[in-house]
Amino acid sequence: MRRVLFAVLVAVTLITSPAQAKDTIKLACHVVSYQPGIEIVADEYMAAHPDIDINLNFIDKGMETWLETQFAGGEEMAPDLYPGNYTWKYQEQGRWVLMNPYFKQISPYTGEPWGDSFDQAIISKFAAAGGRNYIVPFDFIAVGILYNKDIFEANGYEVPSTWHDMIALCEQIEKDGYIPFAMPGNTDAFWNGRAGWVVRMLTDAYFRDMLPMLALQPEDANYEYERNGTWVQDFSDPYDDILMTYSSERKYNAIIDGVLRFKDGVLQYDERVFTKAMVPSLFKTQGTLERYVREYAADLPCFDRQAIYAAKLEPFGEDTPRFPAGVLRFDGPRMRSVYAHLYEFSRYWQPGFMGADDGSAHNLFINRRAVMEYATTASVTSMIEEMNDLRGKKGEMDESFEWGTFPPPNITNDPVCKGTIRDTGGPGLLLTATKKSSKEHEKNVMDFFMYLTRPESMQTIMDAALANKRPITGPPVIKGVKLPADLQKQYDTFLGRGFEKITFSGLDNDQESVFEWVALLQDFLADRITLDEYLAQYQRIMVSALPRLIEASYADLDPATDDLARVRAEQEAQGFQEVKQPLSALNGTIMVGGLWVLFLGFLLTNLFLRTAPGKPMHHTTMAYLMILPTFLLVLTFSYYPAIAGLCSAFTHWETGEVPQFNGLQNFGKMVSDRFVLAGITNQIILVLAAVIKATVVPFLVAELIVALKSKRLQYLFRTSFLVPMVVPGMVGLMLWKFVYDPELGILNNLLSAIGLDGLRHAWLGEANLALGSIIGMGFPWIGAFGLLIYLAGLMNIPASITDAAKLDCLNFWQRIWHIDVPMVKGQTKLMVILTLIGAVQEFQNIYILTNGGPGISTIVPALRMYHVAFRFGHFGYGASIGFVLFLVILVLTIINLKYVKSVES
Amino acid sequence: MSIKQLTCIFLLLLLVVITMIPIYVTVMISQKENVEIYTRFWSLPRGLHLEYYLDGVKFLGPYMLNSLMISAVSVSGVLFLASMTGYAFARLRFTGKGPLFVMLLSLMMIPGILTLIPSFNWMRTFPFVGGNDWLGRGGQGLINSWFALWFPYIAGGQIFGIVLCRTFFESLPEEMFEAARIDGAGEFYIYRNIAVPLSLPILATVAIMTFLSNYNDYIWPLVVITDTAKQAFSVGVTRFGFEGNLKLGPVMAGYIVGAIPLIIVFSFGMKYYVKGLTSGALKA
Repeated sequence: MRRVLFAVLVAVTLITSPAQAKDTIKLACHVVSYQPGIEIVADEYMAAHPDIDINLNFIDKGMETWLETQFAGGEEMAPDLYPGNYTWKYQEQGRWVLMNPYFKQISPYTGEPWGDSFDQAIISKFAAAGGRNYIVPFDFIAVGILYNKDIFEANGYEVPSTWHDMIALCEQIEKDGYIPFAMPGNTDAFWNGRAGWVVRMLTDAYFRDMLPMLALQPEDANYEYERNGTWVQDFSDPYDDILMTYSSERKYNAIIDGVLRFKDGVLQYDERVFTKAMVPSLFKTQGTLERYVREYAADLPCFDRQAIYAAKLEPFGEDTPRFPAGVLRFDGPRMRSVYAHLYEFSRYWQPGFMGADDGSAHNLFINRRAVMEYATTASVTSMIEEMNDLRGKKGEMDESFEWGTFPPPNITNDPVCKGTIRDTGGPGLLLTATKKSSKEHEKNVMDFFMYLTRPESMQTIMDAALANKRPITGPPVIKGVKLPADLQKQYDTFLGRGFEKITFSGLDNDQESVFEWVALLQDFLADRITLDEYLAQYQRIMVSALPRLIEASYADLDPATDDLARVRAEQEAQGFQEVKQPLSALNGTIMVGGLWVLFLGFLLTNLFLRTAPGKPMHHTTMAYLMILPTFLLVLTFSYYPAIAGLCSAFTHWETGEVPQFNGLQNFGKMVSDRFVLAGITNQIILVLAAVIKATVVPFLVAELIVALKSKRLQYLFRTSFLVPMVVPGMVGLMLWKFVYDPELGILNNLLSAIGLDGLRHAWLGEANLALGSIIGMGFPWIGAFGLLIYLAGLMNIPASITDAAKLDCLNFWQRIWHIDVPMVKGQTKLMVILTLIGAVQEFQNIYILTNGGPGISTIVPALRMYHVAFRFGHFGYGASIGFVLFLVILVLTIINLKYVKSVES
Repeated sequence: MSIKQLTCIFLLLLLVVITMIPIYVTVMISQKENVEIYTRFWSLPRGLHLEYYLDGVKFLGPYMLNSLMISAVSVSGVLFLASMTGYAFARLRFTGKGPLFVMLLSLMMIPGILTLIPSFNWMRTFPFVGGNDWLGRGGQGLINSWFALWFPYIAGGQIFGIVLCRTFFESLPEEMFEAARIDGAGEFYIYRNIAVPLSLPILATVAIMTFLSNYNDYIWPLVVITDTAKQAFSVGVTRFGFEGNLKLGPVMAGYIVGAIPLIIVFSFGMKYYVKGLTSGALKA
C-alpha cells in the first residue's frame, strides 16, 4: 500500500514538473456559452501552430477572485486574454496591450486591416480616452422590452411610442389585474444589471445636451479634427456623437465647479456636500491644485498645497448661484427629472422587485403574470428555447405564448430632456490582452487573437453555441457572421437606436461610488428617503468619488495635457510589472525559514535551558517530537500566509500596485466607514441568531430523540438528520430563493392559501425583513454535528442523576432546565466557540441572496471586506477589516473560554 | 405507546420531512427543463431526463477521481497528524502546552479571504520545486500540482481534528495509560497501540469532516490548478451544464452524481461517525 502511494506521489511530481518548450497562451472567459466554439477554434489553431499551447479557462463563478490571484502570481500566471471589465483599474495601470496599432496591421487571416473585421460603431463606443482601444468586443448586448403579444391582443393594448404612453399603458394593465413590468431590482441588478441600465438610459437622454461643453476642444490633448472638428449635435440622429470624444477632465472640472468657487481670495465650498475638513481631499494631486491656483487664485503667493490649505475656507454664501450654467450637479433639475421618471416607472414594476434577481423577474414573464419584461438580447435565444419547452409534447397543455419586443420609448413631454432614449448595452464577451515583457510572446498572443476574431472563427463559436443549445448573449460584432434568419430578425428589433454617451450611476468606473449609489437609490425607491434627500446625498457620493478617480487616472484636470500618455510612456519603459504583495521583498523561503528557526529555538530553549522548578516536565521531549510535524506544516502553510495577510492591513495596497506601509490609516478609515458601522449591528444580530440556531435547536431535537423509548427509532431519526450533509450548499441557497420569491415563492403562496394575504412580503426585498429572512434560511436549522454532540452529552448523563430527578418529581421542563442544560455545558461551550468563529467570517449566503441590500440592510463587515478587496481593489483596506474580524473572534473565544471556566469552578 | 411518545415521534417526523426537502428538490430539478423549474418549482417533472445522469458520469467521472485522490491523501495526512498531536496535547505534560495550543486554535480565526493571495504566491514561489531555485524564483512552484492542495488541506484541516482528538483522548481513563507506562511502554507505543485503536470512531469523524470540506472546496482548486485534467470535482461540476447560464437540470444531476462518493463514504463511515461524536462526550 505504501509503495503504491509512493509511486503515485512520484508520478504526480513527474507530471507537474515543467516541460516548457512551447509558448503557452492563457485565455480566461466567463461566457461559458461560447466554450464549445472557442475550444474548437483553439484546437484548430494549435493544430496549425504546433509550437503554441493554448490554455483555456472557463470560469463562471469566482472570476474576480481568480483574476486577482493570478495577477498577484506574476507574469507567468496572469492570463494573456481575459475579460478586462472585471479589472478596470488595470487599464489605467497600463497592464493592457493597446489595440490601435494592431487594428491597423493586416490580419493574416482576412488579408485586411484587423480593425476592419469589427463593427466600427461599437469599436468606437468602447474606445477609452483619446480614442485608445484596449477592449475587443465579440458581441453586443442591446436592451429592449419583451411583451406578451397574446395579452396585448386580448386586451387591445398598443405598443407605446412615447414614455408617457408607456406609463399610461402600465396604469391600464395594472387595472386589468396584471403586473405591468417584470424587473430585477436587487442590489446586483442595480449594481451591474438591468435596473442600473434603466438609469443609464435616462441619464443619457437628460445629459446629452451637455456634450458640446465637455467635448474635446482644439487646444486639448487627443483632439482629432475628424472626430470633433466636424461634429454638430443633432438630437434627431441617435448616432450623431458616435465618433466624437469628450474629455473626462472637463467632466470632472464641471463637477468641481459646482461645489467649489474662489471669490476674492476666499475658497468657497458647498456646505451641503462638504464639511470644511473634506475640501482638501479634492486637492490630493498636485495637478488639481495647480489648475485651481492658475484659474481662480492667481493672487495667491505660490503654487503650493499649503497656500490653498491656508486660503480662507467659507461655505457658499446666499448670493452664490447654486446651478450656474456649465456646472455638473447631481442634485440639479436634470437629475431631479431623471429620478422622478424612474420613481414613476418603478411603481409599475412587480411588488417586491427589490428582492428579485434576473431569474425571478423572468419567471413572472414566463408565467404570464407580468405583461412586459425589461430585457436584453441575451434573453432572445432562451425565450425561443423556453417557448418550445412550454409548447409541450403532444397531448400536454400548451403554455407557450406569442411574444415580441419594442424599444424603450422616448420622453417627449419634458423640456429638460433633449435627447432620445438610446441603447445602454455592452458586450457579452469582451477580451483584453495583458501586456507582458516578452515581445515574442505578445506577437503570438496577438496572432491567436486575430485568428480567434476572424469571421470564420466567430461563426464557429456562434454555431457551436446554437448547436449545444446554449444562450447567445447578443448579435456578433465581427462582420460577416451569419445567424439563423429568425434569430437575426429578433435581434434587429433591438438595434438602430444609437449608443449612450454620457451616463451616470456611480461616477465612471469607480465601483465604490456605484455601490453607494445602489444602496441610496434603493432607499429612495422604497420610500425611506425623499427625492430631495436622495439628490442631496447623491451629490455628496459623486463628489467624494472624484479624488479617487483623479488619483486612479493620473488626471491633472488640465485637458490640454495628456496625463495618461505620460504615465503610459513610463509604464512602457518598465515593461510588465509584478502585482506586488506586502512582504514580497521578504522572500517566502526566508520568512518560513525564520519561522522555523524561531519555533525550533523556542522548543530547544525549553528543553535545555529552562529546567522547570519543582516537578520536572518529563514528557517534554517526547511531546515535542510528536507535535513537531504538525507545527512545521502549520508554520509553513498556514502561519506564513496568515502573517502576510495580516501585515497587509497596515499598508496602502491597491490592486496592481506596490503596497506601501501606512501605519494605522486603514483602521482610521474604518471608524468612519458607514458600511462597516452599519454592518456591526447586523453582524451582532446574525451571530446571536447563529449561536441560538447552533445550540438551542440541536439540543431540543436531541432531547426529543433521547425521549424515544425505542432504540431503533432513536437510531433511525439520528441517521435521517445526517443525510442532508451530502447536499451541496448551492442547492440550499437556490431553494431558499424560491421560498422567499416575492410572487412565486412558497412562503407567500402558503400565506395566501391560509388567508393571510396581509402578511405577504418581499422577504429579501424589504429592508426591515431581509436580515430576518437570511436568519430564517436553513430552517429548521438542525446541524448534524451539533445534534450528535448534544445526543452524546445527554446519553452520557449518569442514570443516578436521572433517577434522582424522578424522585424529586421534576417535570419535563424542570428536568431539562435543572439537570440537562447544566450537564451539557461543555458541549454548549464547544458549539458556541465554533459558531462564533464561523459566523463572524461568514458572508457567502448574504453575498448570494442579497449582496448587502436592499439599501444597506444586510451588509456585514465580512461582506464589506470582500467588496473592498475584490470589487474595489483596495487590498490593504480590505485586509484591515479582516484583521479586526480576527481580533474580534479571538477576544470572543478567550472570553468564552475564561467565562465558562470561572462559572464551573 | 404513550401520548408523549407519539408527540415526540410526530415532531421528529415533521422535522425530518422539512430537513429532507432540499434532497427532494435536488432530485426533482435534476429531471426538469429550465422552464419547468420556473413555472412549477415544487411539482414532479413532466418527463424523465436520465441522460443527464449518464452525461454527468461521463463528464464528471475524471474530476471525481481527481477529487478522490486529492481527498484520500489529505484525509490520511490529517488523521495521522491530528491523532498524534491530539494525543500529545491530551495525555502528555510539557512546557508551553497552553500557548502552543492557542497558537493552533487562533489559525481557525483568520478569515480565508485574507490569506488567499499570500497563499497563492507562496505556492508559486515554493522553493526547489516546479523549476524554482531555493528562493522560489524561475518556475511555477507547486502551482498546478496536487501538492498545492494537499499541503494546505492537511495543514488547515488537522487543526479541528486536533481539537476533537484531544478532547476524546482526555476522556479516556488515565489508569489505562498509567498501567502501560508502568509496564515500560514508551509514549509513541502507547499512542500507536492503545490510543489509536480506541479512537477509531473519532478518527472516522475527523476523516468524514475533512473529506467533506476538501471535496466541496471551490475557490482554492480553481485558483491553483490550471490544467483541466487535474481539476477537482467542485470546479468541474460548474463547467458541466453551466450554471448561471440556465440549464439547471444537468447541473443538479451533476451534483447528485458527485454526491455518490459522499454517499459511499457515509454508508461505510456513518456508524463510526455517529459513534465518534456520541461516545466521547466532546466538549470544550
